[in-house]
Amino acid sequence: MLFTVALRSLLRNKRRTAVTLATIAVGASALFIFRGFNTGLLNEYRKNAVHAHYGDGQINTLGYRDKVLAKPWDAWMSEPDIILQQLLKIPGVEKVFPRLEFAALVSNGTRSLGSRGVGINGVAESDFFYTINVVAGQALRAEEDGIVLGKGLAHSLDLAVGSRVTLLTNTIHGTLNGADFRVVGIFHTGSRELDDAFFQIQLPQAQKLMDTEKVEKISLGLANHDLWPQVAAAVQQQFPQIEATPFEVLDKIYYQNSVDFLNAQYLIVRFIILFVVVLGIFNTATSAILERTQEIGMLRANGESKSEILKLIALEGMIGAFLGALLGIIVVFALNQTLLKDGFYMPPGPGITRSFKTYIELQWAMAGEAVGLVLLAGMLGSILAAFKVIRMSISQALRQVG
Amino acid sequence: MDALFCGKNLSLKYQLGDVQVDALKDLHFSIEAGKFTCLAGASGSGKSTLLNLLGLVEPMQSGQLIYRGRSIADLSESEMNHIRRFEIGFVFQSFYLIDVLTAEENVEYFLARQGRSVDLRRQQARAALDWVGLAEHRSKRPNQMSGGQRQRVAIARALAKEPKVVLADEPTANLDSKTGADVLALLLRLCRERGCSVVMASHDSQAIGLADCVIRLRDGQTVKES
Repeated sequence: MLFTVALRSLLRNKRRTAVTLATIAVGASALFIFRGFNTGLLNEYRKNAVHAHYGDGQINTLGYRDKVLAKPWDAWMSEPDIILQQLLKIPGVEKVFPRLEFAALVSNGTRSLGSRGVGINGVAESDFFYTINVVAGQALRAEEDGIVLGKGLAHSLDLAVGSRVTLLTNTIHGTLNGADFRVVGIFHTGSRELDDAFFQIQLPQAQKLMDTEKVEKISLGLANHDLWPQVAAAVQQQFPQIEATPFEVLDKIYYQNSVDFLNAQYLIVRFIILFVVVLGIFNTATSAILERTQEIGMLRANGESKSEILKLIALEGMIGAFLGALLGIIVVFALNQTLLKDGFYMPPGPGITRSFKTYIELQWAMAGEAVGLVLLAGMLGSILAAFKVIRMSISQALRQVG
Repeated sequence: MDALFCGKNLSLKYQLGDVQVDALKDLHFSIEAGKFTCLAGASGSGKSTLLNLLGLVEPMQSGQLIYRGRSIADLSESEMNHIRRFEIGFVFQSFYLIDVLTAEENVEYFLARQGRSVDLRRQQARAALDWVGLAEHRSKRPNQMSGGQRQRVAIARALAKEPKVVLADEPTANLDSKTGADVLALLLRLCRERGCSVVMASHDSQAIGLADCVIRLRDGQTVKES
């Protein structure tokens, strides 16, 4: 019966209920769409970070990333082929990319610039690392003497596709070594850190330059990034001397900080939206409850306690909030299937220099969260509105002129 | 006969703007169980205030009010709620029906709140509406009924609770004389046929004439108890 009264009470004043439902619907849809937008944005950030450079994560020897080593090659991984084969047997691991990162001078014959290079398996990586945005030429594939440069680095040395460059480096034994390469591509990841000082060559070439057969790290490509914790645990179990680090840690400055920033922003926006919804509900519920003061007095005269009256009013608020939220959720789903279907371009995010396309990514859990928050707001707004009437004595409520 | 209510030195004041009104002054009375008692007096004499005190809807200020051997002042909030829910039925001058519920649902609501099963309360609500002559109107909402019909729903609502006492505050004041007489007859039947105590505040001479006992009030004081 309580539910019947609560539900039908919404129909007492249809216009007022319509205004309340609209307020709630706008609030719920704002919460839902903003959450979906945030998720879409973060997924784009994640995709950009994973497929630009880091993969889903990488493995090094234990403690390698935390120490500054005089001879880092002592901590590089020997017999990488055995490790690679074992890694590919771990469920969820689809790709393995051995790498060797080193410092080198890149010379165009007249000028040299200090930079960081990475030796990669060009054929294997070219498919996975597709957000390395190649702006000229192509990604590194099978070209033995090919080199791909960051856009900033190429610009600084006036290099174009087809140019010859010389790499100068020290081997792990301390002797000077060098080799000539041909520029096959220029990339633009969007991250200035990479674009201004980074180049890629084939892994065997890098090993030859460093005079080693070791690899420094292995990047992993997973079937699904959510599998990372299980993969990391399996790596830890099979290779106690190796540690696995997710890309969120490797790319903390841009990715993780962006995630934290956006989440903090969402919290504030969520609070503001909920505050507005509570105020909206409070406003309309106050008039509705004041009009029913005598009815509330009658209910109390017939034995309803203050808390039971509050329960009835909160239930009314929550039913209204639920219906409004449902309306808002449906509107957002409809918008996302029509006007927002093709996504939209966002200006470059933190640490990224190119704009990118993002989508509103809606999930049922988000809809549930939006409904839950709005229900809470509905309950809170109604209860706050009821306090004045609840504090009256029963006789006062009965005497009140509606 | 046992006293249903017994008042000793009952006083109650309230503030009306800047003026303090002595609504009840040192009142003494006794109301017997199973009787039709009328609180009579002119407007402002304190009869509605006294009725509210009897119905536990007006907070006590001074004096003593005994209900079925228990001092009201000693009752906790939840005990008072329990008494209001199970032992007291109200009939108000302005009916106070829940306008979003049908006549039957209005009666059923408080039976549900008493914890009665769906079948039982539906059956009892229909029986109560039948008893007040509204069997055919049970699906109507208050705004589809006349004043007399609404008051009869209110009586059905009160009697369905199977209370010890029905408190009626000027139940005929908003009704024409014919309808008012019907309502009075119903309340009298309630008392006679069901043995339910009825205490009614009224200045209607017809109502006063029907009562077993009349407590006359003037300016918040008992003038005469007969």
